[in-house]
Order: sequence, then structure tokens, then C-alpha cells
Amino acid sequence: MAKTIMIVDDSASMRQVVGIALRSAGYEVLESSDGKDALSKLDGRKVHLIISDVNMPNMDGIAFLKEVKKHASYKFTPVIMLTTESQASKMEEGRAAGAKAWMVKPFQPAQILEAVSKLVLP
Amino acid sequence: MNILDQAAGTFFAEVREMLAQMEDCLLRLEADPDDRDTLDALFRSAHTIKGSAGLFGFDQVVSFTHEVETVLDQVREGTVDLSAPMVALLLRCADMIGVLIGRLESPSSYAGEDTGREAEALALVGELKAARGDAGTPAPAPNAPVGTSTPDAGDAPTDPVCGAWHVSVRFGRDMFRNGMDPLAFIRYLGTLGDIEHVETVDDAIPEKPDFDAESCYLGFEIRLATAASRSAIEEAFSFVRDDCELRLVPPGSRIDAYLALIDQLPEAYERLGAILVACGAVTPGELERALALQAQGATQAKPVEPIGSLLVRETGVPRRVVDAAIGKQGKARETRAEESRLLRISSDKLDGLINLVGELVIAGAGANLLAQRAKDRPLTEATQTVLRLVEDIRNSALQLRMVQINETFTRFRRVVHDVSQSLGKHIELSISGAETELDKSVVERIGDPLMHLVRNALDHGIEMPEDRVAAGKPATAKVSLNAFHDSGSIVIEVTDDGRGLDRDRILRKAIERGLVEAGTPLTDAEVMNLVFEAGFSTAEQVTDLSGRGVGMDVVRRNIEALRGTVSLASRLGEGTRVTIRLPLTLAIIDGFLVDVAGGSYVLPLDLVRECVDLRPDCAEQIGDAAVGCIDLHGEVLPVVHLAAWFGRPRTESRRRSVVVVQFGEQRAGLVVDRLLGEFQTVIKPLGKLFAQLKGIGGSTILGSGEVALILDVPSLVASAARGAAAQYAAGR
Amino acid sequence: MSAIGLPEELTIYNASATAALFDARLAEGGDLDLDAASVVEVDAAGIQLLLAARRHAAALQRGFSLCNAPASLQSTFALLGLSFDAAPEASA
Repeated sequence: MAKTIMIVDDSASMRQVVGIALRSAGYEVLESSDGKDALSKLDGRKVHLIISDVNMPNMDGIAFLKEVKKHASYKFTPVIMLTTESQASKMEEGRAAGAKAWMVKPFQPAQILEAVSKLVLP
Repeated sequence: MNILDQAAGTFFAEVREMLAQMEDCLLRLEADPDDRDTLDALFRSAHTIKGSAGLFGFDQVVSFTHEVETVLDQVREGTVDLSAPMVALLLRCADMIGVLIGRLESPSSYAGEDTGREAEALALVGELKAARGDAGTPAPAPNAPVGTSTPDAGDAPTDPVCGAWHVSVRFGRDMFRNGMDPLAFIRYLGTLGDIEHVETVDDAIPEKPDFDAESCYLGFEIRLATAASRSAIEEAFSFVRDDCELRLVPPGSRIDAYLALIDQLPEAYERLGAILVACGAVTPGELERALALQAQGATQAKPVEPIGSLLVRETGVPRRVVDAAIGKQGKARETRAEESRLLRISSDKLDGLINLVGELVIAGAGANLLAQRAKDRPLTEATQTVLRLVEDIRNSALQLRMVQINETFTRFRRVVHDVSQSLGKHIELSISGAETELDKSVVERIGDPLMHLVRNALDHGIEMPEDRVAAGKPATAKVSLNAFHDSGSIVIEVTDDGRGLDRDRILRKAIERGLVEAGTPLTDAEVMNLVFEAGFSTAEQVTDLSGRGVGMDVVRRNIEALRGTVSLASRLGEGTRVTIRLPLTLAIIDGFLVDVAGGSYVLPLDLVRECVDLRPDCAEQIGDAAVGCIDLHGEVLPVVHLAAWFGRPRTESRRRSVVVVQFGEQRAGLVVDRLLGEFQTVIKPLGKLFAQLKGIGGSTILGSGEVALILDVPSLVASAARGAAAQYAAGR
Repeated sequence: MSAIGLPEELTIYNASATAALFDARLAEGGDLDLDAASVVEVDAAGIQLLLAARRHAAALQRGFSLCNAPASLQSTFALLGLSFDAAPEASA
């Protein structure tokens, strides 16, 4: 049974490229451009990994992370946060909120695949 | 890479959006530098561009955007001010990003430009660095985000042939709670090479009352045959550096190394010894000898280097002053979050769909007509139902083509900003009705005429600040763009409070240039509209900015090509307003079918106000003329006798009808022979040959297969009005 | 007493609940006979649970067995150098 990954990023090309990369590696991918929309899409579905950008309008990645972690279904779901390296303070907040894995933009598709496979193999 | 080809289109479109957003944000921030939300949006745009460009390996864009992003971050932190020069610099940087992207998108069109651009880009980076005091973070090395490293850079060469790495890991209690799964890490190690052996160390599992199923008490001793470097193996655990103890023993290490390892591990010697033997790391003999030696205290153990970066330690990142962005959601701007509810579609596909709908309308009408002729009631009703549904589909499909004029309008913010700066004038642009929707193809073609009109206002209409003040006006001039719907048309107004037009001067020039006979009576509006005649220009100097030899006549032609009209009103010293009227759609309209001397013609239904019978006394009033006046409800109504207008032979008068139409302020009546009712009209454009016909705006196909001509109501109304005025002036 | 059927997801999400099941059985004086036929997904927390169950049963001198492990579960055991076939050995 394929593992499901949710990617939340307001950049369409980011979602598209990462989505394609993950799907060709054998994962199922859920996408959302927005924290609020992501929460409603998750809706108790079994998700093995969440990838979320930190910088998003309306609900930023940290706020989204905190919300997600309140749900029993996602309490233990690994999260990879995407950020820029100038935002070390965000990483602290994120760690505190439960995101232990970080990737710094810019990265190439192969790198996100590698990171994902450390946390969940398809 | 194939993935990237697929997504390239999305990328380029997205970058353009982000650049437009950056420009918009910068202009807003110039006016209001404290607008936190806009600043965040600005930062996010740069961040998105950098991230996406990185995916595609567009390193030049990445490193350039990084510089911009760094400055923006400092602006957010408050260490750099967003002054006017800074805004100007950032605008230039946004432009440069656009250029860099353009080169990537179509390299051929930029060939040969390279060195110039490089220098420009470097210069901008220099300015950015200077402006921020060069305290930013270094540009990211391509391919090297935190958490992943390029394999094998400077590691001491290991000998992959003899032996394997020994990986010893003890996971922290919170592993599971943090969403980390040791099993996944081990499986990942398996992708680096061959896992020869794993020993699961569960010694730390406590007795019953203390056992917490959600805490992790596991450790593993792993023998991994791999050619990967030490750092590559360490990288496997990059996400859990803080949550585990990792020790590596390189291949070919001597027993000392393993003894040192045993020293550091919490479990008992014998236990670990047994584990290592089980792993194949050491042979039982070696182990015994070594333990014996150690007991004698004579071992010179070479300590296994604890992998410094991987031991449990404090993360060294200093706590920085954090703007409480989390707590303070505020009223976030609903920007591109809309995206999740929107869909990008190719405009070709949409046009294709609308064509099909058009064919469907015609085919439906044909079917309905046949049903009527066959006098088959049920069939007629069925086809009526089909026609109704087709009309709904038509409306929905046409709605898809409607886009807001907003994008067109907001482009002008930048123009006004730049031009007013370079001219030394103070000009404020206000925009209203940006959400007004119009047909996509109209939006595309209205940009240029609008640009000319705005530039005219900026260059020639608005006075220098000193002159304005001297004239008792505020130093800052106002230019406004306004759009709204009005009876089946969309109206766009370009207004300025500048010096206005001098009616008398216009008339003089027009007479000079032979556009008008001296002594012809003209209304103020007609004089103003002379400005649109070819060969007319009252500009004292042709400035650099708009001196391309393109005048108002071209503007009017472009607008008329869209089946619209443009007119001008002005007061000397006070300002000017240019009004553009455009039809809402070019494709399919609700039509009103009429018969004129045996020929079928269609009028746009939304221009029709009422239909009345042509009373005999009115018919006499008109007589044989094509144009005349009648009395309608006590008012004078100019009319066009269509049969005469089109040169059709006059048939014997029976009861004719007058269709009263309105375009803008002006009403007129069209005399027709028969009213044939409503009719969904698919507009087929006339070929070039017929485009000059006055009074005809297109053609369509009736259900019977017959061709009907579509009346160009605006021009007919204008002709009627002129005719009526002439008659009035002639004292009829 | 019948065997305890392990859940489909033998993971961190069910760890506490499943541990409670084991505790209850042991409290009743029973052995831990586990039936793994339904297990579809397992993570390290799940593995740890089995290891803990085996230890705890042994500590109370109760029986422990695991049967019907699906192929995927068996290969996970193999990867980790674990065997649940026989009585608990001294070295894991």
C-alpha cells in the first residue's frame, strides 16, 4: 500500500515539481496551497509525511504545524518544513512545535526525495 | 530532467505573477512603509521565486534573488529602511529578475546580450549589498541545503574492500513523538549499500510500570557494507541529530576502535562484545584477547571519534528577536490562497469550447425551426428545452472568458510612478472598478490604447507642480482609472485634473488642417472629438516618452476595432476625461431579429429599449429620407429608416415598427418591417472586405441556414443623431 | 484464552492502546499469545511493543508467542535481526 505524503506550499511550481518527483518514486501525493485548505483536505486521512513551507499567506507553516499536531491522527506524523536559511528563528519555533526535519530552499527535486526517503519509504 | 520540463510552464507563469506582486507591494510600501502584511507578501514573493528557481537549478536567478530576499528580510527585521531610493532599487532588481527569467524562457531572443546583463546584475547586487551594510547571509551554494551534503568531498579515503562500516546508534526517548521512525532510517541506510547485519538493542526497555509505549528505548548495531563516505552515512540521520547518539567505526578498523566504542555505550561489556561478534565486527578470539588486555589496563585504545556534530548537544542557534508573527495573524490579505480554488486553463481550449457552443446554438436553432415547420408540438417543446439549456451553457462558457480589468489597471501604477518621477511631476493614480469584468480578448487589446491615453494625461495633461500651485491647484495631480458596466457595455474612464483642453484652440487647429470647414456649427463634444481625427496634434513638444508618432486617431481606431467607441470631455484649466465604451462580449449575444425589406438583421438585445408601431403621421414625417425624426412620447427621436439606409427598394407601406435603441446617452429609432423576436446570435465576424461597411457589425447564421447581418447600433445611433441635428439646424 | 489479534497498524498511533491490551491480559493472569495476521503496517514503535511484551511476559513468567506474521512483517523482523519464533533468548 503506497505511502501518502501531503505537500503544502503556496508556490504552484514547487507543488508540481515535488509532486511529480514523489509520485514517480511511488508515493501518493496530496497537495494544498494553503494551511487552512490543507487542514480540511487532511480530515483524518492517513498521511505518512507532511511537507510544508514556512512562508505562506493566511496561515504560515508554523501555525499550520501547530494546528495539525492537535489532531490525534497527526500527532505523530513526521513533518518536513521548507524554509530559507536566514530564518533560524523559525526553525526553533518549528522544532518546538514538533517539526524536526528541515529543508532549506532552494533545493533540487533529488534532495527532497532523499530527505523524504529517510523518513518514509514508499 | 523530464519532471522539470513538464513544470517549466508553471514555473515561468508563477515567476511572472510573483514579480507583478513584488512590484505591486513595493509601490504600496512606498506610500505606506509600515504595512506589515504587504511587507510579508513582498518577502514571500522573493522567497517563492528563489525556491522555485532552485528546483530547476537556475542558479543565477537563485543567487540574485537571494540578495534581494536578504535585504527584504532585514527590512522585516527593521535593520534596513524601506526608503524611496531603496524601493527604486528593488524595483530595478525585480525588473532584472524578469530579464533573467526571460533569458531562460527564450534564450534565442536574448543571445548576444549576455555580458551587458551580467554587469548590470552584478552592479545591482553591489548596490543591494551597500544598502544593507553587507550584513546578510552568504548566498546558498547550489545543491547544498542544510541537512544534505555533497558526498565524499574531502573525506579520508576508506577502503571499501575489506570490511564494512559499523554503525552504532542509540535513539532518544522522544523519537516516536517527533514523528521519527528508526525503522525508516535503517531502511534508508539499506539504500546506501548492503546491510550485512543488524542487532536490535532493547536493553533500555524498562519494567512494566515505567514502560511508556510512546517513548523510544531502542538502539541498533548495524554492519553496513558501502562505498559511501562517513558524512553520507551520518547524513542519513541528519533529521535526528538531536535525538540520537551515533557512532561510526570505519571499515578495517582495529579492535581498539571497537573497544573504545564499547566504552562509550551504556550496555555491559559482555553484552556489547556479544553484539559485535554477532555483527561480524570482531571475531570472538580478537574480542577475548582485547578484553583480557584491557583488564590488564595495558590497552592503548584509540578513541573512536564521536561524530561531533551528531552527539546530543544544544543546538547552537542563538535565539533572535522574533517578531511575534505567529500570535499576530491579523487580517491576512487574501491573496494567492485563492489559487486552490482557481484553475489555469489554456485560452485556446476555452476559445475552442466557445466555438463549439456557438455551433451548438446555431444547430439548436436549426433543429427548433424544423420542429416548428413540422408542426410537431412535442418535438418543438423538446427543442425549446434544448435551446434553453444551450443558452445556459452559452452564458456559463462566456462567463469563463470574463476576466477582471484589475490586472490591466494595476500595470499603470508602475507607469505613473516611473513617468512622474522622470518628468518631475507629482502624480497620484487612483483606480476604481478594478473588479469589473470584461471579455478576455478585449482586456488583451485595450491595454495599448489605455496606455496611450494615460501617457497623454501624464505627459501633456498634467502640469508641473509649480504651475499647478500657481494656478491654485494642489501640487499633486490626480489621474484616475475607472471602470463600470452600463447597459450592455463596459465603460472605462481615464480622468485627470490637469490643464484640460482648449476648445477654441482645437477648433482653430482643425480648421487649419482642413479637418473642418470654418463656420460649421459644432457642439462642444464634437469639437473635442476632433482630437481623434488623423493628422491632429496640439502637443507643443513631442517628448521622449510618448513621441512615437502615435496619436489619438490610432487610439480610436484600436477601440473601434473592438466595436467600441471613445469620446473626450474637457474643461480648460480643470482637467480632461476620456470615456471608452466597449461591448461586453464579442462572441455570442442575445439578439433581436428583425426583417427589413425581406432581409434579416440582428440587433443586440441589450441595446433595445422598446418597440413601437410606426404611426402613419410619423411615417409621413420621415418621408423618403433615410434619416429623420419622429415624435415619441412627446420627445423628438432621431430615426433611421433601415430599408432606405441600406438602399433596399421601398415596398408598399404596411404597418412598420420602430425599434428604439440606446447607446450611451443617445437614443434612436430604427424603422423595420417586421419584428421577429429574440434570437441567440453567434457572431461571425465580417471579412476584411466588409469591415468598412457602416452600420454592419458582423453576421450570423439563422436556424434556417440563412445569413443575417448584425447591425452596428452605435454607428447607426450616431448617424441618426447627426442627421437629426442637421435637420434641426436646417430649421426643418 | 484466545490469542490477541494485533491491529492492522502496529505503529506509534496504536502503541499505547495495544500496550494496554497486553497489560490487561497479563493482569488477568493470561499469556501473551499474539496473532499478527492482520498487521499491514509496522514501525519501530510497534516492534518495540512486541519486544517489550516479550520481556514483560517473561518477567512475570508468562508465555509469549507470535504467530501468523505476514511476509512483510517477517521481513521487517529479519531486517532488524529479530526472531519471535522461539522462547526469549538472552541476547535479544
